[in-house]
Amino acid sequence: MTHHHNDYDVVIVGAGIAGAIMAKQLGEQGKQVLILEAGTGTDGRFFDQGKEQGYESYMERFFTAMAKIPNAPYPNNPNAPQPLVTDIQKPPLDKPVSDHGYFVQYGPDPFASTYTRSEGGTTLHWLGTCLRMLPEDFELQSRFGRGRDWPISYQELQPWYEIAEQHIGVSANADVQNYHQIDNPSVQLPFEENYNYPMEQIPQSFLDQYLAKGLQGMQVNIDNQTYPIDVVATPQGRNGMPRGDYRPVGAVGNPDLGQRCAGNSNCVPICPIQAKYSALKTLEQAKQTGNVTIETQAVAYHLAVDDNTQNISKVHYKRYHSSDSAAFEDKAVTGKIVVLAAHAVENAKLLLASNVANSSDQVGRNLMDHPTMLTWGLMPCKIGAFRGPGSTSGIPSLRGGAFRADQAAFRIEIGNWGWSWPEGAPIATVPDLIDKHGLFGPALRHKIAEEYPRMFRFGFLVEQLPDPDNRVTIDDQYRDQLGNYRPVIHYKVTDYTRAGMAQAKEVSDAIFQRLGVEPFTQYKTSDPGYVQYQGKGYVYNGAGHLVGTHLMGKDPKDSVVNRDQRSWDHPNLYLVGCGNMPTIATSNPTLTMAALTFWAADNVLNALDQY
Amino acid sequence: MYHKLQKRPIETLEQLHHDLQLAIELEFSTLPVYLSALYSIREGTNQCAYTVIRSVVMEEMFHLTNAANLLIATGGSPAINNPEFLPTFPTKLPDGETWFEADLQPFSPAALRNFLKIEMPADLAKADDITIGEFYVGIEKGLETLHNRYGPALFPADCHDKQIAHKYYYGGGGEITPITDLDSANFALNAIVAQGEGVPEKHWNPTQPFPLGETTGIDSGDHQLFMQPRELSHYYRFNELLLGYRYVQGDTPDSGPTGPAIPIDYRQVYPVLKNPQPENYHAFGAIARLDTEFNLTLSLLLDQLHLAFNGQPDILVAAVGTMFGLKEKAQNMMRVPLPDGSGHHAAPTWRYIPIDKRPGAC
Amino acid sequence: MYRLSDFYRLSAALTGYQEVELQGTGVGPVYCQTLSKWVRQDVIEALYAQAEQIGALDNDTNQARFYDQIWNSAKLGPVARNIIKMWYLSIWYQLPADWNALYGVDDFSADKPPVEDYVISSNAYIQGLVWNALGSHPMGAKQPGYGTWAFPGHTAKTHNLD
Repeated sequence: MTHHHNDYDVVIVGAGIAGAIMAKQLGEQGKQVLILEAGTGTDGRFFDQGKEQGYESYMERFFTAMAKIPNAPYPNNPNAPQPLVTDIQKPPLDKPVSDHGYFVQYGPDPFASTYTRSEGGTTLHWLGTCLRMLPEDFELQSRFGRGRDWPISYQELQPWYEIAEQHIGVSANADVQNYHQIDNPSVQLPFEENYNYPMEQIPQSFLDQYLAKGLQGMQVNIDNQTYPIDVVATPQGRNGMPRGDYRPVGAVGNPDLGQRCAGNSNCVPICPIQAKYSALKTLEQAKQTGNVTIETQAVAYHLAVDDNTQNISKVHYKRYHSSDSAAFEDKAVTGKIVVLAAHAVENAKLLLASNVANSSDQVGRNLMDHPTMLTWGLMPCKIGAFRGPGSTSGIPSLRGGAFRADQAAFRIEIGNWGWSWPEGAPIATVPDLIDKHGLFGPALRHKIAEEYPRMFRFGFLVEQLPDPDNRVTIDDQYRDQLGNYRPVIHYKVTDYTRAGMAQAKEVSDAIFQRLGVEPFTQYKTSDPGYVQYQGKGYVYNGAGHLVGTHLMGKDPKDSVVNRDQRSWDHPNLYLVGCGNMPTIATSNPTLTMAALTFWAADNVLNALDQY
Repeated sequence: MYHKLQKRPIETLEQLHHDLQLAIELEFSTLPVYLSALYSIREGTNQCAYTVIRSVVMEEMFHLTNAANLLIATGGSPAINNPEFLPTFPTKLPDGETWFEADLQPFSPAALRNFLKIEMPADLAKADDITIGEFYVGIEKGLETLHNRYGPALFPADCHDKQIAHKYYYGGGGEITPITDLDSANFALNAIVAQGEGVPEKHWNPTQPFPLGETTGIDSGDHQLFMQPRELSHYYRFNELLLGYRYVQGDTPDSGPTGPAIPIDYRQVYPVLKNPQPENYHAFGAIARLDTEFNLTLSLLLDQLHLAFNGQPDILVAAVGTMFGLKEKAQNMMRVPLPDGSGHHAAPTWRYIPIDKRPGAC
Repeated sequence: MYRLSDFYRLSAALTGYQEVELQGTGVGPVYCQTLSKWVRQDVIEALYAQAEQIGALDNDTNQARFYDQIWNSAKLGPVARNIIKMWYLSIWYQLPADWNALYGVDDFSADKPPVEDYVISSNAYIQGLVWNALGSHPMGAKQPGYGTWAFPGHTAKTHNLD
């Protein structure tokens, strides 16, 4: 079954969600596909088998990790290093931060997001939020004079959203997610008539219900216009109750497990039962076609170009045998078509290292994230914190509106896990109760029982615009132990986004006051993400939403790929992933990227017909 | 006390409902037996055994749901939250299998031998001994008799929506299919017999090679086979554990399993009391309270299941939560050594506490 | 050598959990061994003896003595607080440097004091008391079941029978 030559119909770089979707779609049509994955993998195993590690080895690593950060379960591998949230420091003004982790950061603001370099990619620890973008998000420039327009419209992407939602397995109700109940026409989403998600909406947390009741009828004023504050269930890539004939996909290598979210409250960093979608599931389906080979521990480092055709003629990669040693074999493969699905940062790095696809000089530029501002406090009564999926609802009513001409839009995420993000509760906070407050015995137990279930936090995912100066570059000085480039990052959070943060904080204050939430939010100048706007301080965190490093456009002069997601410069090179997105807007980008990738796979299949 | 089965063909609707209620009780009565052994396994150990027993438990619950759906589909009402629903262990099984008693005990070879008796296929049992499979054959024949008499009216249309739908059941075991006529009723019944208890003609013919390859795509003693889903009946899955080896293609009942060894460490088990009774804890107030708490949770579970099977299927969501709570309470209890120096650990007694006997009841 | 019964008795007073609840976690023996590994036996014995002498902490006088003779003791206080943190958070924290200088395990011990705080074991993480105390389950383990987060509090909703 396995293809033994070194020329394939398609060579895909990266075994994350984009690479997996591409491989599955092509493999199902009988195309011979090779995926090169830089990181290590579990090869479809759930349990460890002797020295061969399975998914459960990730759990073991998670349980015993002191810092339970998003990448905690996944091995740090010096041959395919990955950024960690614990690496992030405020860059000094005079020199870059180069000694902390994988990224080299020039600032002026720190880039706070991370990703995972393992088979399955960052979907191993994503939250699973599957929001569609709004129609106006595709036309920011023409509607608001900001950012860029996409070369495609919401209407064109709409059918691909449906395919992506069916494949990932999204739990939600269409007649809620079309936002028709929200009194703000800017956010309303046209859904296809009679369409519904494959699974019923995940139950909203007790906290969500409490908020929905408490905020009923609330409005805020922005630029002399009123906007509603509506609590709405979030569509999620996790298994719920199936509709009709849909059958939830269980854990890879242990399919009885994970057919339903069981409330492990651990979507990030790892769902123990794989009830949350990860690309491992799609990879398994790709392998089942018999036409897809996955080679892990294979770091692509150079794309060679045929001078006559401008096609990518070879993908060069370093195949290492163990993450314990820097020894590697230098190898190369050929594909009629080459697809880069290595992640926004890694795609850009590989293109820059190979000096390809960059006639526009836009490769690596326009790096975006959702600077995520948190507010937190104590509810007046117990709302059952630390239970359920990380977030089951949000407040989407400020995702769009006329104010986007002046300031960033944002989505409010309601966190179900108390102060785990802002304060590291309970593990990082309980020692203080003992050491500083002298609590022990029944008094300690009582304090935790009375206070922790009241802990509550919002997350504000604030929009960022494409800015050519926010960029990933490479520099000969900075390489990893295999000799591959480390990403060098220039990044700042502009006033447009800061104004959105300030607006978000005002909304938060109004909600806290209305509900009687005792505020505990603190923005410290020592926090790496500390920024000021009009004299006040705010702090952002990374959302893990890395977007825009090889964006698509209508014009080869200012974009890297066309609407087919094909490189303007190289006829057989396709780029997929969040790097293609010209704007980030206010939705978590994975669903949009998956939809785009299904579309791209179609384009690749059509292109293969000509070979 | 469990001699509810009358050896007779089913000829009336009342008799059918009686036997289906018995089927529900029968399926449920195996759960304390399997769960006592399952939860006695020390955390993180004996993973293979744990996975096998858990998979059987999931299938028993699937059988229970199918039996309940059939009862509901023919106009009956499952009765679940009453003291008679649950036997007191040790017990004879309610389908009239009088030739052995089911015990609550820690995971051990003795427990596995007990499981084998519960799951004994008729072709291996002594001629006079009733097996669960034969019990279901009686129900199948009864259904046919009644269907000949009543036709489609045997499955009243207003009973369709009261059944437990597929969407409520997950975690392995099988797929719940709605019962609306004789075919779908037989389909649901077949799912029970084919999977676990087995009836002779639907079972593995002992003269034939073991049917591994055809049903699973697994052809030999590949190590990949560990903990992969396979479609062996309960009896043979338990026999693999008892003998410590996997069946592979070509094996017969006479050859026994000749495949890879299954790693089992019987020392990694909490030595819990066999067939614990409330009297065992009279001298230990703190443990007696743990047992009461367990039984209160069990009683809540039976209340919830009763409501779910009587027109409020939504309550199954809460019931699943209660099941997880029950597991935690059982495991917490089993880690506690009895303070009498016997070396035994505590274990729950699995008693239903009627509403009027619960704390706070007036 | 370690004495599990003494350890449970002291732990119950320090954590506010009954001995039977602590036993129910199954990780008491591991914590007791961990304590013995990083704290000298004579210090542990002194802690047990002092706690025994003070008796039940059910009145103001004994509580005052507890704070005075154990909690605020340079020798015993850090050990007592580490025991609480083990039970609640499943982590062994480094003892303060000045404590180590005075009372740390001697050079003849096979195990030098750990250089970093560490999670005692994966099972210990799962059994951490803090999760129970805050009315939930450890994140990543002891799953409470689909949809239970929609109900108030940790336990599934009790339905009234009518």
